[in-house]
Amino acid sequence: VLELAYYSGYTHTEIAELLDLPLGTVKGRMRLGLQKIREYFDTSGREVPR
Amino acid sequence: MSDERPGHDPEREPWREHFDDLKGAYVLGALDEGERREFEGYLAAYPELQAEVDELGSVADLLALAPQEHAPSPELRRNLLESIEDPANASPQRRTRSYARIFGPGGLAVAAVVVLAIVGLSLWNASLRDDNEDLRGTLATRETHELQGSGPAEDVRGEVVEVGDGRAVLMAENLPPTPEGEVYETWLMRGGVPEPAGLFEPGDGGDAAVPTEGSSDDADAVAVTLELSGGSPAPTSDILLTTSL
Repeated sequence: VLELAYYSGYTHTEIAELLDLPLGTVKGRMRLGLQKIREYFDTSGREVPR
Repeated sequence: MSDERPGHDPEREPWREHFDDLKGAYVLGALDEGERREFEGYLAAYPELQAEVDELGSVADLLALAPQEHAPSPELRRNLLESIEDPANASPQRRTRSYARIFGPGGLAVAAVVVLAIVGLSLWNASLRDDNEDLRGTLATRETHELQGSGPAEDVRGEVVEVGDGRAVLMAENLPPTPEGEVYETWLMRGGVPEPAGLFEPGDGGDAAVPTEGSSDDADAVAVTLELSGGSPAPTSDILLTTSL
């Protein structure tokens, strides 16, 4: 979902159609994906560069 | 009804959940045009939320570092090296020779980066100070006015937030979809005379967050009507939403 949004430039509505998923699921996966990236940085003791 | 508490808390606003819902897609650039405008409407009304959007944006920006690195093809590598070794580059090298002697090989580049970083950080620091002062000013002058709905918009909840400098944002939930060929039009009322202040259509779920066009300074009220697509110079239907400023 992150790849389709960030690299391929699809909107979340288009991603939902493309993957045949409810829009809420796509939004949830975006949130979760970003959260996991942040957690990775937090747990490895690094700071997210600004 | 007017809520003039400077600390009007966006955490407790009914649209907060929707804002959080759109936040991830916004920083990934994955909102469609209408939703993006709506999201930026919330940000215009509550600029203190910008910090958390920026923070999430920094996380999204890490995706730029994620693609696997590939070695260039032999041809690309040869072309690159040829362009670097081009004799046309020889004269700038001569000009910098004396500095290179002082800083050593490679040191010149490091020194340049350090100077640029210091200048950049100083500018950034100054800009952050300005932003903080702007934000404090905005929070101190913000006023919230609850919208009253009537007719088909009776169940609409919403407010107009004046954020200072004549800027105002209309935020509403539960708006009925617009009939085919019609849009909502916002009006700023001055001395009982309506001035067009922008067109909008609600997103999925009937949400809208739209900055009003034109200054809200000296306006007595904000109103919303349904108009034909493209808008009207004066209202042609009953007022659906209104609030006094």
